[in-house]
Amino acid sequence: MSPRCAAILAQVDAFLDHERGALERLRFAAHLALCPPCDRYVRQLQEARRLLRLAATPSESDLAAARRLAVAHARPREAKG
Amino acid sequence: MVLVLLRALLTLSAMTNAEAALLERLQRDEPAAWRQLLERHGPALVAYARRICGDAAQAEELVQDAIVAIHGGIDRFEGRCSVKSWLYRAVHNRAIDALRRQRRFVDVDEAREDADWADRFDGGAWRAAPPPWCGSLDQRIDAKRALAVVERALPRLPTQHREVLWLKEVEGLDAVEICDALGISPANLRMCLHRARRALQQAVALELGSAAAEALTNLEA
Ligand SMILES: [Zn+2]
Repeated sequence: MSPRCAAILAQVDAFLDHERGALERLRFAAHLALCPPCDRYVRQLQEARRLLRLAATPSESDLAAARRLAVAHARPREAKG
Repeated sequence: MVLVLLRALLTLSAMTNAEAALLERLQRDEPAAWRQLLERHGPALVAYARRICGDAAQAEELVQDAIVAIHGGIDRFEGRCSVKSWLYRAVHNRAIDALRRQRRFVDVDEAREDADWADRFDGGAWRAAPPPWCGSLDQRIDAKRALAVVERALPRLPTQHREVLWLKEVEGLDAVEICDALGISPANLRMCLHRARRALQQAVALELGSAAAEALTNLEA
């Protein structure tokens, strides 16, 4: 824990999105290596995003709804020729 | 001639060649092109709408309305944004209208969120380390449990947080596409995404904080 934690974490998106230069990423990673609370927080952020992606697969009901929409939207004009 | 070409190049610059070809076929109103568009993007659009409005039947209706509107306005679409952001924008607009009408739109309370976050620090340092999560990080949790956690965590978030997270983390839209879809500026998006990720961490923490995680494990055992 250091007085720099809040300031470091304000830059977390650039770290997650691979936006900054190598030196800044290294500085961010170095802080995490030395600061267990920040390290845990960033791991939890990454895990939360992983869970969101894991849970994101369209459900059976989404797929069925999409099929209905595709059929309904293409059919009338096809009938008209 | 050069001007016409230049203009075509500029208007289509947000689109790939494949998208431009598809757009041409859509504008000729080829049913097969509409089917292709909906087969490719339909499932993700419905899933997105369902996460935003929280209801499967309403999600289907919203996407249906969006497609009808898109069909009506296809001639005016010039390809200034990608096909994806154009589709998401149509669904987003209708979802937000519906939520507002039903008084289910949840505004972001930026001041409170920022104050809560600031409260976790003292002079820039953590007051207390974030509590560990059970059943996660160490023992990677699987898709079924992830779904259970996310189903409970997502509704806790303000509407815009849910949208930004879905478009960025799940759909992988780039910043320009998200700004086009949601009608916000890049600076606004950066702040939204920052707050949304923070809020997602907190919402998941509520589910995976020790007591909640044990209850979840027992429930699913
Ligand atoms: Zn720190």
